[in-house]
Amino acid sequence: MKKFALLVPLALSFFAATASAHGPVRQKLERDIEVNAPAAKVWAVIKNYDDMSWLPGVKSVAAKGGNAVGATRVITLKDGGTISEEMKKYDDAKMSYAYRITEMSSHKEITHSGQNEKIPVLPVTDYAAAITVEAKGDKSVVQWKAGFYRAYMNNNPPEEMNEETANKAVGDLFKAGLESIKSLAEKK
Amino acid sequence: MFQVNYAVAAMAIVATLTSFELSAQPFAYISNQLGDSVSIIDTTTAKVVNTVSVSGKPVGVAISPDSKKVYISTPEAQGFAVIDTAKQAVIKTVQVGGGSLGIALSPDGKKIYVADWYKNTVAVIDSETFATVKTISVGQSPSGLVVSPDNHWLYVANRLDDSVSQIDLTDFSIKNTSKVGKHPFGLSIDRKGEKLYVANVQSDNVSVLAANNLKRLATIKVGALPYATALAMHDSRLFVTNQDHGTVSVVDTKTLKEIAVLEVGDKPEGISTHPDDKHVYVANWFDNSVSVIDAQTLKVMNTIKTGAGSRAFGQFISK
Repeated sequence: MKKFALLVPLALSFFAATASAHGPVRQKLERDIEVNAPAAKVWAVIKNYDDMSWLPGVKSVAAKGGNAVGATRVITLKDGGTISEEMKKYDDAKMSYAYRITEMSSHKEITHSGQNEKIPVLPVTDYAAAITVEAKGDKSVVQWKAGFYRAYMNNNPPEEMNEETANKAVGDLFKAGLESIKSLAEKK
Repeated sequence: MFQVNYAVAAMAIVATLTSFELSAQPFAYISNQLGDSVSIIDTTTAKVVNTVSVSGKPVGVAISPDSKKVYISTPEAQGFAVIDTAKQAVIKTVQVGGGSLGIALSPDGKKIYVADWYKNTVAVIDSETFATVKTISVGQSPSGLVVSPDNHWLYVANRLDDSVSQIDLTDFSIKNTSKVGKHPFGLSIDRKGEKLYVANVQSDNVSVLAANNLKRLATIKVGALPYATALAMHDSRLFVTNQDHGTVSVVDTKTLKEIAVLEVGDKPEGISTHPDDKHVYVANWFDNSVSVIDAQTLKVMNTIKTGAGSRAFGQFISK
């Protein structure tokens, strides 16, 4: 009898643990790189919203609206995927702009919990980012930061759409982009 | 002998006064979602005086009218945590549901309302027993909650339904539901209980509704991704956090026009008005900080470092 009484709460707590449904938590990532070039020169590499030639993996950009808030761009990747983004903030004096992903194509489809899930080319949801160049004497620092959710907005995400995958993808993107900006600005 | 007693008595009075002042001065309770903690800011010194560990990715904040308890919603812990403000420690955790997010208190402090993002419900919880006395079905992804000053109505923003519902607290029935902008999130009510202000995240505007029947009175354009709202200066000014602009829009509630845009930290989210009605506090999610705005001069007075991912969604300053 005593054993049985002990088992019930144990079984209940096990159930509670496996059914621990919870929503996704917004993630953030920030990376910077020091560049041996004056800030204006570094800013010139990235300042035009329709020019993403500095980002490895980008094939072409179709943009509308110049460098104004509300400007849009569709980035086509070398592997064929597309990412649509909208400008949210642009400050030439502060050498900074902020943007948000509005749409993405998917590069893979998986089955999870009996549903087909399309995995976006950047495995995130609700992604907003900002890139800024800051002068440090005759050198500069480029800072890139983003806030985003994992790609899977329901409970119990598949591995391809969880927080770890989202953070790694954004981290890899930032690393590649910042290193490219550095080499472009230092070369010229 | 007399003198000694006098001195002791005087010291006792000083001690009493000091402790009274400590518990009476307003504190801001800032939930740090990525840091699993709550920063407690002494608003008189603008310093963080304590950081309390709160597991379960804390988001929403509500404070009892006597300022003795702070309730913090914890989605990953499926409910909320209760902080005793004298002890500055968590004294209880309560299970409600997996999508616990928005949290509000009745003006008499007797009921705690918790919105469940996934179950599309609002739980009504007795603040003495912590028993759920009622679960109300609402629209999709309920987020912000606010109770009318007369304790008659509960308003809920149904984010994915683009609507606000008015719930009668005498029988927990839904009296009205009104369409607002895209993805309403935070909302405020004025002191007379006449007007509701709702931040619409996806349509970059604020809906103004009549609180008695949810009639749409106006729509005000603000900045990018407005998250939450707060009223100050005798309800004459509305402050709105614009996440993607890193700004706060200030709206004149008479003319219903944006009169100023203030730079705060990056990704501002939760916003609350100090009980002096002259200062507005903003939690900056990306910057891990709180900006303090002078509601009269419209200047940022202070920026206070908090913990990782400050959200502070709800009424987060004690009286």
